[in-house]
Amino acid sequence: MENEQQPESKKVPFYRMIMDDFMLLLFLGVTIYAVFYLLWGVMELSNLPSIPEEIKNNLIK
Amino acid sequence: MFRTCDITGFKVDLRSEKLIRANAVFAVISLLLAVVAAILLVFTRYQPVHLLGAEWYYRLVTFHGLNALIFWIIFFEVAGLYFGSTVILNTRFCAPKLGWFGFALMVAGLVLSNVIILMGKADVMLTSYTPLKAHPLYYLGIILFAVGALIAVILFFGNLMIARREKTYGDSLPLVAYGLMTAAIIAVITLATGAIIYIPTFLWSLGLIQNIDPAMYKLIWWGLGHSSQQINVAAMVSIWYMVSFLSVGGTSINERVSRSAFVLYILFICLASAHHLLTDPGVSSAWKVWNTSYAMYLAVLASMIHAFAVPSSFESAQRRWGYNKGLFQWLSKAPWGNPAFSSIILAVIGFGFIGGTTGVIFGMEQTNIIVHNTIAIPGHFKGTVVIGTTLTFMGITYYLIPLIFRRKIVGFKWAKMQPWMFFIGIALLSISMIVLGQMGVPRRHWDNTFSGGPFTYNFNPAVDFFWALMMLGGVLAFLATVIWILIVVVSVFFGPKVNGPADMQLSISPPAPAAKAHKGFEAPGTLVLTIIFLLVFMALFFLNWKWLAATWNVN
Amino acid sequence: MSLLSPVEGWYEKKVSKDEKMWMIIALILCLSMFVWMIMWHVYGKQNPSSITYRTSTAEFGKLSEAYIKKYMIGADNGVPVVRPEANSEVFLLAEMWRWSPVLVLQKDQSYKFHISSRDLVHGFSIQPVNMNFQVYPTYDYVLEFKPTESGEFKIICNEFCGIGHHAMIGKIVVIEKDEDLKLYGYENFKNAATTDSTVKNEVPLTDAEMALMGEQVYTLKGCGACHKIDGSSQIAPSWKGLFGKEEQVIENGKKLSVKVDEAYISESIKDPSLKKTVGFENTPMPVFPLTDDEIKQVIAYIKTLKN
Repeated sequence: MENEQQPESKKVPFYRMIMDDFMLLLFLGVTIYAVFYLLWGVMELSNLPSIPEEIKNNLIK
Repeated sequence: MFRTCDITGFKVDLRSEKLIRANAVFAVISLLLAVVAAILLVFTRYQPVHLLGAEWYYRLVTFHGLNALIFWIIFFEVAGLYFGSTVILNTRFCAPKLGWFGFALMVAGLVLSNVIILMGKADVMLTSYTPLKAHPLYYLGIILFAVGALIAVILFFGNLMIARREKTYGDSLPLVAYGLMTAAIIAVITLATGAIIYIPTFLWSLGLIQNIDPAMYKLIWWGLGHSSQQINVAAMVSIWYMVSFLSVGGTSINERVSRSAFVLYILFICLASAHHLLTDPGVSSAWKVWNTSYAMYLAVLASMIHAFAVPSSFESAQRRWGYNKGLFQWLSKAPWGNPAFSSIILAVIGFGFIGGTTGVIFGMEQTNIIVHNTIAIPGHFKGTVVIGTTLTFMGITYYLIPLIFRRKIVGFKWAKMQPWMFFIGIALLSISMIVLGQMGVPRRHWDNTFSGGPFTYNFNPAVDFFWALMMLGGVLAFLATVIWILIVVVSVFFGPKVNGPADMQLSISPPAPAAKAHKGFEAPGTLVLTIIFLLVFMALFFLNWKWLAATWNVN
Repeated sequence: MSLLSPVEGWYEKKVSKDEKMWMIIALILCLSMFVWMIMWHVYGKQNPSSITYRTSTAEFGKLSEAYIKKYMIGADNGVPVVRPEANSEVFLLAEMWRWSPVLVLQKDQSYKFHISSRDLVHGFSIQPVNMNFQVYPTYDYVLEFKPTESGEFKIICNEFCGIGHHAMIGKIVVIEKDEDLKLYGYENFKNAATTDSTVKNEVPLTDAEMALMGEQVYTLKGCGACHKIDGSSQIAPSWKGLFGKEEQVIENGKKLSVKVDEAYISESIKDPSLKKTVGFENTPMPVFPLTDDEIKQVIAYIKTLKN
């Protein structure tokens, strides 16, 4: 064989490597949830307008 | 430090075994507390009896929720995580002293929170939505419990890392350990969110923080609340594969498929906490639709993959054992006398047909309008966490008693009957609640006649029938749970010792013979069952959307 | 094997035909459901999409009271009744333990509901239609409703909000024509006010109506927990025969005698610690946030409780 590969370093398919790497999966799971559910949700709740003046003025002078 | 199990051949770290036992014992104690409260609640909502007054009704709803959804389940899962990261991997427990410290925190939390609730200082429901405020010690108890559980999860990963480094398993984790790893990752999400919400709320209850915005609270709380239930899904499915192996020598017919399904869980299942906020103000429809669909339903796809992979693991093994006749001989000739087997099959059916269908449909942005906060919601989650997770945990315990506690099961005849009794009871309870909820009956509500109010309202008279059915189901389930607890307690503390494989009352099957090459379907019976499931799902789907369309217009 | 390491070649193993078929069916189902939810926003008539405004409990409470004062046409069992114009802004207030006002709506007309809470989280649940929404304090939830059927509907609360949770029930009446008001006993109510802001806002109530509303406040705000109307006085003075009575109180450590009149009752509710009734020093009254109107209604009610 021409290549200098050691017997241990067989080429592992990329997807299999992800599947076996539980620390990577932990990171991905936490990040996806934190961004889409928590951060996005908190951002929306923090950016709500007040009741428009014209609605208020109709009732309270 | 180790013993080699004379029944399964696994190397068992004795220090891990002690921790597994301790956590399992407290799981059972929590379940006992939960179920005693449950029967009192059943007879209160069943208004011909109306057992408890309003104050104690709401108190015990809080008590039942905490003990059932959090303490019972998480204590059992910690035992499972320790089992999955040491016994299955033939490796040592990384730091037993920390394990005991975590255990002590969890016990302290259980005692503290429960005492405070029973003293009447935390009538806030498990959800404790602000501005409802409980006594600070209530929140502290939950925080202690959560920290203890987080320690257990960290130790799980520690054990995994040692096992990986010391190469006690091959290149890839066994499937059951992989599923428990999924559960552990979801647990990290759950407990981290728990810290984010409970610590400020605790400080607020002490008067150190001025105000906790109620919408923020609910958003963050459900990141803990629902994710904690998704831990259950992952753990439950792992145990299904485990029982398939133990009872018929089966395994997933395609590991890449099953593992991919677990990966989808890890990535997307926690987004679904959004389904608790579908009829809330504040968050946009875009946020609601993206998150409640678990990102385009990819995590639901994962569940549907397991829905095929789990039964097919049984079917494929059985067919290789020779039960090849027709579509269902593999099922009719399965070890129904094995209470772990029957528990799992019933749990799969219940979780799929009752819990899973209603979960997906109720969790769609618009159909949620007709069920939010009705009693259909607890009806749904008894179809997932009780018929699914709890029955599964009960089932695997029938193997844990001889294998980890090394005792014979006392009352084995009762053990065979118990899963059926529990299944029928909870199925009746759950389905009745779902029907009642679709007729508008509210959850967490003490009086269906609204006495004391300026007006009254009469529900559709059909509710009387379903209240009675719910009550009967509840009684049956309560009895089945008490029977299970008695079997477990008597066996563990007083049962005859198990001295070797001959003492096993539940068979442990050798792995099924290798598959011969074949064309065609590997699990045709399972395919038929999943198609039936699909048809039932579609029927419920269209029924609910039709009911929604009949309501007033709203946007 | 699931308890053992996976067999060699597990990653490369081909997926069996039936499993593949099922996965494709499942994927199609999943994507279809996602698209369905999105499409319902376009073609469906029920969507929980809303506008939400930030507010405060004080601001919304004021708006709700002003709204009721301006558009009230009568009272039903102590709860004010409002008949809004189509397409108008309707203010619905949730609080421990009632919904106000009662609404008279027109079938097939749209109304922009502003729903908020004065205290805790509540659950807005219209029955028997069975539509359910969450109501928060400090958030104004704007939902546009169009009732598609006529009749009498109740609003129950389905989010736990304390010991009076089950008594929290409101009412919506949907009519097709004015004659329908007879069905609900509302035929003698004033005609609906216009949304013209020049209309005077005081709607004079009869004493009996005020007293009825006061009874509602007594029941729903929790006064009844301590003040009994049958003459017994364990925790607090009974209201029977209270009005006009000479009462012994302690003010700043000194005992004195006061007459129980409007001013005294109003002061006692607003700041109970000023004058403590003799005999009840060990059970001090907590502060109950009642509005001025509610205090007037309570006084009217107390007046009817004669010996």
